[in-house]
Amino acid sequence: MNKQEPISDQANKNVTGCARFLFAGIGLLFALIGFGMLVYMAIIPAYRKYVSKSWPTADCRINRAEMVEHHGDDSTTYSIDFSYTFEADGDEYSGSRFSFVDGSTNRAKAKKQLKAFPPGSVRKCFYNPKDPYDCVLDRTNPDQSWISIFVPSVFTMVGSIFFFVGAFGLGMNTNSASLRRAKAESGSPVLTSSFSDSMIADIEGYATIADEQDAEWAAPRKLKPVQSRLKTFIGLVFFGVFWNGILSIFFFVPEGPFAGGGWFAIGFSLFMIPFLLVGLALIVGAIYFFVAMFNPTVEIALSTGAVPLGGQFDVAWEIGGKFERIKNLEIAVEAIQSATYQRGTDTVTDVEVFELLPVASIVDPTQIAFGSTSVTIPANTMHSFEAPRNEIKWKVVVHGKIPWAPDIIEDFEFRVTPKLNTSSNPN
Amino acid sequence: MLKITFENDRRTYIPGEKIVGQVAWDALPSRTDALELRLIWFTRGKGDRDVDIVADSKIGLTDQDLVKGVRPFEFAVPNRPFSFSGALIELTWAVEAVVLPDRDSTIENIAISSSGESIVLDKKYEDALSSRFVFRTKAGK
Repeated sequence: MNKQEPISDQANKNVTGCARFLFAGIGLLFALIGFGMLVYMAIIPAYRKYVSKSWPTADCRINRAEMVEHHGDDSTTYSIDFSYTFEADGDEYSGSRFSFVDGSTNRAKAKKQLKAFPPGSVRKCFYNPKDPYDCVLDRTNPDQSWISIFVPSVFTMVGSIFFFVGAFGLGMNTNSASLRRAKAESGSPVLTSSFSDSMIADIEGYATIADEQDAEWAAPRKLKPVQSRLKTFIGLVFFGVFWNGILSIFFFVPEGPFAGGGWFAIGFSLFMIPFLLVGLALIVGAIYFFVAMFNPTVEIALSTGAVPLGGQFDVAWEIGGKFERIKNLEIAVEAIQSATYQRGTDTVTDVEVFELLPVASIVDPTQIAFGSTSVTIPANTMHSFEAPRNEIKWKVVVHGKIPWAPDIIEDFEFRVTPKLNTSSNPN
Repeated sequence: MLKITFENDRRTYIPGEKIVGQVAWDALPSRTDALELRLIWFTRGKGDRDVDIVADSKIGLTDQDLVKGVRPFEFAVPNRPFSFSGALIELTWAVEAVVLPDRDSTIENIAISSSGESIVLDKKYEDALSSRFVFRTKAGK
C-alpha cells in the first residue's frame, strides 16, 4: 500500500479560487489605499495649487506662530500652529492653514517657516474669493515631498498588478476551473453495474461539455484569430498610459527627486532606468501594433471546425486589404503542447510544436489573395486537450512577410477530436 | 495490503471498452470506514500537475471486511483524453484505491487511446511558424 497521498487528491493542492480571490482582494486593497494616498497627498494639493493661481492676495497679520512637536515611535516631526487675520471685501476673516499640504515636517523646515512668518508680522496670504475662509499663507506646496507621490504610486502599481493577476488569472488557475474543464475533457464515463449495492457510483455531473463543443464545431466554420490586433493595441495603450502616467509624475513635481541634483538624483535616476525602459517598451509596442492594424487582414475558414484524428479537411484563406504588400505568405497547421508551471513567484508557460503540416507557401502575389487546400490530421497524434496547466492546441498559423512593416502572424484555433473506434471489443 | 489487478493483466484500452478488474485487501486498520476506487487521469512533466477523478465509488466496509476482502470493479472507458507522452506533458490514466479516512492508497496505471497505446509526441519543429515570433506565441497561448 502506498503511504503517500493519493495522486487524485493532489488536485486540491494547486492554486485555489480562494487563493486567487485573496490575491485579487489584497491587490485591490493595496491599489485603493495607494490611490487614496495619491489623491490626498498629491493630486488634491496639486489641483488646489492650480486653482489658487487666480486667488486674490491680502495683507495678513500673523497673530500666532508656534512650533508644535509631534513625537513618533522613531522620530519627532514639527509643524507650526498659525493663526492670522486679513480683510477681504471689507470684512475680516481668519485662517490657520499654512499651505495646501497638511502634516508636519522636519525641524529645519519648521524653523524656516517660523522665521519667514513670525508672530506680529504682516505677510501676503491668498484666499478663495468665493469663500475667504479658504485661505493659505503659501500656495506653492513647499512641503510636498516627492515621497508623497512615489510611495502611493508604488502602492497603486503593485496593488493593481496583484489585482489583475488575481482577478483575471494571468498565469494562475483555479481548482474549480480545473475540475470543470477536466470534466469537460473526460467525456461521459460510466461506472458499470459490476459494483455491489454497497458501492455508490459517483458519476453524476460529469458533463459531456467537450463532446458538445466538438459537435458545435463540427460544421463549416470561419475561424477567429486568437489575438485581436485592436485589442492588443488598446491593451498596450491602456497599460502604457497608466504606467507612463505614474512615472511622469516624478518629472513634473517641482520639488521632485531630480530637483536638487547631486548624488541622490543620480542614484534615483539609475533606479528609475528599468521602469523607464518598460515604459518605453510599452510605447514602442503600442506603435508597433498600431501600424500592424493597417496590415492586410486574414480570414481563415475550415470545412469543419472539429476534425477527427486521421480526418481530412479543407483550409481556405482570404487576404483582405492591400494583399500585394505581402511578399511571402506561409500557412501551416500546427499542434502545440503547452505546459504552465510555477518557478519561484513567476508563472511560466513553455510551448513546443509537435506537429507541423504545411498548408501553403506563396510568393506569387496573384495567388496570395485567396486559395484553399486539403489537410489530413495524422491518426497517431493527440487530439485537442485543455486542462488548467497543460494543453494540446491545434491551430492554423499564418505568417505574411511585409517589408518595412510588422509581419502578419496570426493563429486561428480549431479542434481535433479523438478518433473513436467503432469496432471496440467490450470484454 | 491493498492490490488492484486487471482481468488478463490488461493495461491498454480503447474508448467504449470496459476496464474489468478487482481490488483485494487484507489487514486494513480498524478505523477504516471505506475504500474508494477511482478512475483518474493525471499529467506529469514540465507543467504543474492536472488531475481529474473521472469516476469514483465507495466500498463500505464492516469490521469483518477489514480482515480480508475482494471486490470486482468495472469501468466503461471514457472517450477522452487519450494517454500521451510528449516533451513537456505526459497524460496517464490510472485506477486508484484509497483507504478512508487514512488516505493510504495504491495506484495502477493504464493507457487509453484509439490504438490502445499511449501516443508518443516526439517530433520537434524548431522552424514552426508560431516559433518565429515568441511574443505572439506566448501571448496567444
